Amino acid sequence: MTTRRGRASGPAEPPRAAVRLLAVRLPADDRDVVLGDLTETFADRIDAGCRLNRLWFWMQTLAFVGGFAIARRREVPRMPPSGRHPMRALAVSLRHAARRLRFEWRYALGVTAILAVGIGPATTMLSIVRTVLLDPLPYAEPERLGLFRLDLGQIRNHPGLSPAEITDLQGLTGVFTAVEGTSRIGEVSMGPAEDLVPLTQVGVTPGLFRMLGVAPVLGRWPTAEDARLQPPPAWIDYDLWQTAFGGSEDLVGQTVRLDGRPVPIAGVMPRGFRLVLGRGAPVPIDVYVAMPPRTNRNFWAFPTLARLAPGVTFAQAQAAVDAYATSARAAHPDVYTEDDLRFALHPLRDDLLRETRPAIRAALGGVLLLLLIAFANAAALVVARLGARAHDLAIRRAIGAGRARLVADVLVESGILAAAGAVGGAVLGAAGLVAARRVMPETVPRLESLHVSVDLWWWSAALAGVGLVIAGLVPVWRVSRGAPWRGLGTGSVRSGRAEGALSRLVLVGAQVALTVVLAFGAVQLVRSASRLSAVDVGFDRQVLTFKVPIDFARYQQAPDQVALYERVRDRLRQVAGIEAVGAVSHLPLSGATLTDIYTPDLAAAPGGNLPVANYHAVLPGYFASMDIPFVAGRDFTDAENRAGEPVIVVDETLARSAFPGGDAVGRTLRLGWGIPDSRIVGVVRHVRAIEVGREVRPQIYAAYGTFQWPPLLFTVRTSRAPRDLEPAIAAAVADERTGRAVSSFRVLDENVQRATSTLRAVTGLVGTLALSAGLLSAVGLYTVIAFVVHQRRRATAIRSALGASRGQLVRHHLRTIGLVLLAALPVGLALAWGVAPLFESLVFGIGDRDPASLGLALALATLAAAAGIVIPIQRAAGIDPVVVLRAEE
Amino acid sequence: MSDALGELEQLVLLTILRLGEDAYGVPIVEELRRHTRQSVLRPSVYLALRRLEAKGLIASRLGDPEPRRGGRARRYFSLQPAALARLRESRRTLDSLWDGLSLDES
Repeated sequence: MTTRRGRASGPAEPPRAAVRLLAVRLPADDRDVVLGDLTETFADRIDAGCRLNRLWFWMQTLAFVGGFAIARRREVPRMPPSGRHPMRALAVSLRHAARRLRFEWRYALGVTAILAVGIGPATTMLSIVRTVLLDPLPYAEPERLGLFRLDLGQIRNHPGLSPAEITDLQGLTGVFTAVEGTSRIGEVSMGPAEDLVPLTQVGVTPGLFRMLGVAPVLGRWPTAEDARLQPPPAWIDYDLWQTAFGGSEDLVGQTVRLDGRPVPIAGVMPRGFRLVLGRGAPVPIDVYVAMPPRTNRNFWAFPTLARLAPGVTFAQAQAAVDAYATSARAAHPDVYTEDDLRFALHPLRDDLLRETRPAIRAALGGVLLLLLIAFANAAALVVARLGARAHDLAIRRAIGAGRARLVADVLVESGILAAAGAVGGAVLGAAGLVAARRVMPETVPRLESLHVSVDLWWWSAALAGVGLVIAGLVPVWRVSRGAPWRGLGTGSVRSGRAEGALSRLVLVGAQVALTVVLAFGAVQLVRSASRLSAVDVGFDRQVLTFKVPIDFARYQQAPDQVALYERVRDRLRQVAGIEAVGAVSHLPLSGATLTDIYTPDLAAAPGGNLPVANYHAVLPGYFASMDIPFVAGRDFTDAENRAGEPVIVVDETLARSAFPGGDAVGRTLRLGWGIPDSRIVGVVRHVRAIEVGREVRPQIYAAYGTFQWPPLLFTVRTSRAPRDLEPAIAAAVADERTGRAVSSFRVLDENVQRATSTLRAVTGLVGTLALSAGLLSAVGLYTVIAFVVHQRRRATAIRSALGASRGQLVRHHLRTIGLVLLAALPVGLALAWGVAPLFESLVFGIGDRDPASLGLALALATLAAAAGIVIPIQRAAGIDPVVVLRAEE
Repeated sequence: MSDALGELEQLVLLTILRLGEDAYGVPIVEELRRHTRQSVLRPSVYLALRRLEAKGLIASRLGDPEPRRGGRARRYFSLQPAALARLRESRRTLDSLWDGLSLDES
């Protein structure tokens, strides 16, 4: 008896552990020979009486294990790639994946196309968002620039201050480093009297360019001295410099005839320079002139920008400005008669994007939904194919592929597909961007700087990365769970169950739910757009309009102007093709309005909380030319106009609210803008002048003879294509020697279109997205159901063989789909309900959770789903049991 | 270059030639050790055998399983004609290089 294990196993036996180690570590070819030789030598040594034989055997074992390991590393070609080196493993995975995808090119193309359809619009939209919403304004430190808006009585958010206020605010030196104003954009005529070119012009305070940090490319900065010169020097736009002056380098110092006066040119602004003065796209301006200093306090017509002093926040600046407002009201009670006065300082970019942001957000939301649908769709396809590859994976696992290796393979394959999707998406995205520049309304600010750039490709790659994670994660999860190789027997006669059907159905359900949301958004927008386009704006949209400035040096007195404008009107009436002529100071939906108080109470003190209306100066004949019908009373007469009689025409809205009894004609109103108390001679229909969608303010029309607000915009109703008449009109006006060029020809329908363009653009975009989403959902359902049907074909065949009717088979398959839809549709409905308020500012004429739209969205999503499942289910029902069962013997 | 013979490989070939019919792992190592009069790393001999077989210079056959070897068979090695040619050439080179040289052993 002995206690030592080694002896127990016999003296001739080498250590078992060493033998096991050699058996494991040596290559199969050499294992038995080496072990045999060592064992033999071990026995020889014992026979020869050697000592420490077990130690010897261990030493030999370690030497062999080490020696063969080193040799294996050197003899690369002899062994298959170990796959342990990451780069080599990646190369092998890439090669395998590429081979598989080439073989299954239809699948690869499908996933790539689906990803591209999702990524393309998203890159377009993200580029737009970046350019329009996120890019800083092209000024120095633009985040420190603010724009003032005035709240005075009932006038809210008015984008103009008075010159005296600008001077006061410039005194807040601890808060602002600069406060600079501009005049409203006006028009000037360039050139000699016989060949006038209409240009746009704006007056600027001398420090404006310096405050913005924009230096003229030619010439010098404006100075305070410039503002006192008569005429003040001009800085011209880059494009005008190129077109009118051939880009001449020695233009500075030369003079140009503007409105008949020789104006010295002091500089040229840089290419693409635009003056951002709040909401909407900045208008191109041809000429900037130094604005002469003014002192009046009650003329709020000067858009004003400010630059915060270093370290000052907008909140701190607002507090300082509020304190100023209080003191100003106390110091000038004669000017600030209303209860409240506030100068609201908005960050310039926020103000610029105020009206665009909701539309872009809605479009972005739609794009992201489509992206999600595409990802879910791609993931469903990947999973479905993974199910089909279960057998393949099981075999690879059985012959020794590690789990990590299989996961890496699936990831590499997803990576290739994602990369292809990214390329496809970037191409679609670039195309989308080109299309967007054409389709997007010109009211969207900064659209001109939108272009296909490198970051579009980055967006695309980043989104594809997200797609890779989403579309690759589900299969990886399934692979690492080990589900696909649970048994090699899957797919045999015994298994009628579809592997992984659940996760695929969940993905399909998610797509259907998201489709409901997009469909709802699209339905809401389409219905809004159609309602908005059906709105009666209250005037003839085919009226041709144009601006007729006059030479004030020649026509200084009101009667001269009135007489000139009447002559122009009467001359135009003789032009062939013109049926009616009128003129107005502010055209509907042009963005320009004039607002002030009015009251039927002639004893009321001015100011206070009196109602406000939009004011217009008109020539007799305006209402007829615009086809605005009279509800009561009549138009002004030429005699009243010439005599400056205190008579007005009001719209029915004002008539109803001021005189509920309905006897407005003949009554007198106290008015704003220094117009004397006037008698109402007529009541006209309300005109949609500010928004197409709703009545904003009542309207008051005064004759030009009573209320001069030049230049007048003429309104002409024609019997033929309006724009054809432009040359005849320009010639006719020139005949009456206005001294200025006729400008800004436009058909009023353009105003209507522009006022509704944002909604129409968003509707078009979201509609397209919803259509794509529906299509993707249908495709997604089709592929998944087709897979399920294919995997169940044995069970179906057996049922069929056992006598199940076609109808029973269809019902059997529909049951699963039906359950998915039953779960997905309410989820989609709830999501749509949840996001509905986000569309609120875009929805017109219907509730933001309109039940009809919700129902229609459900129906559309169901229709898309039905389109997706019809073919595979038909195919399932048509299964021939004999063929199917024999095929898998 | 890849099929150039290393020193150990030449020694192994010569050993197999000397052992004739009885050339398998255990005696090959013993014979090498006897002639070189120093310890031989057993794994390098086996790896040299693998390389020589891969180069087609030697062939091997398995013998019968033996209880003394734990029931495992011996692998017998024999030279291929190419090996003989290589050995001859090697000897000729060495002889011509040695011709006229003498190194005093001290």
